[in-house]
Amino acid sequence: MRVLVVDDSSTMRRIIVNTLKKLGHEDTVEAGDGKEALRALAAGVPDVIVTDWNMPEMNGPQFVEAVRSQPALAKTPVLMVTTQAAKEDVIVALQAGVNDYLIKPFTPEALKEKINSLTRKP
Amino acid sequence: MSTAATKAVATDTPMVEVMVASLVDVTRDIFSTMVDRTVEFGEPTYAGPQPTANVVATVGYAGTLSGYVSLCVSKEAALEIAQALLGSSADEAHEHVRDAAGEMANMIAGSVRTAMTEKGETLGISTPIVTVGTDFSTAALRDVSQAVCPFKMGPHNLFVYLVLQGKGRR
Repeated sequence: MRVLVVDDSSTMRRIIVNTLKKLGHEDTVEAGDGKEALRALAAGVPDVIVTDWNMPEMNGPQFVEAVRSQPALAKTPVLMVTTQAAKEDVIVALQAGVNDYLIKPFTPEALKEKINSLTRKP
Repeated sequence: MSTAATKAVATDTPMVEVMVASLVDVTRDIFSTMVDRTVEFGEPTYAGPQPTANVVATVGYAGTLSGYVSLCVSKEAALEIAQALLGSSADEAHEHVRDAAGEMANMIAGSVRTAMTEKGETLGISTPIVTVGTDFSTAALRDVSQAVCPFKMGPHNLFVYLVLQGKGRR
């Protein structure tokens, strides 16, 4: 399973990638912002996208809207991992097309549960 | 996240004390979940100056309240935090000490922002600023509310420092 991790903080990307590796997800691709992530998506569609909210150039909801505007990516699961935890923030993210939401701080178990839930075949 | 401390605060409690209650709750929770460390808090004091530290990670607030929160730690504590946060070797952690401290401050400030939003405040937070050095001090402007929340992580003494203007005045 391939996971695209989008975060402008290389440290937070490293935290998420290391956690994913410990959970058995070795195949990861990293992007530092939404535009870089869209270029990575043009090269291949991952099984799940994990994205931050606060990023330069294009924030998380804007990035997800751009993802959803592409038919090939319409059903790619998107998990937003962020400190933006207010109800109105969650609504904005869901309206943009996010499938699930994980609020920082998070445990490895919480990330595992969300990823498994998003990638579970019906 | 435990909100027992925040719920216990009376409505006429000064805003800085309301935020300190949230700060203690969220900092304990963040250290437990993200770096797998138990931290023990001491009594907060409502005065400056900012505690002396080698690594100071600061995130600003703006909105119905304005001010900032800083995580102040020694370089040894910062390295331990980075290593635990990343789940990586000391070599890799060295490269991420500043950003790891910034991420911790970002999560603390973001979680307090959420708690304060639930109390009716409207707040935005800045990107983290991290200062690293061996001989420096910083000071808030006069006429602000300040609080120093000391806590221990194993052998390390750490601090969360809060400064508020406007409605936060005691």
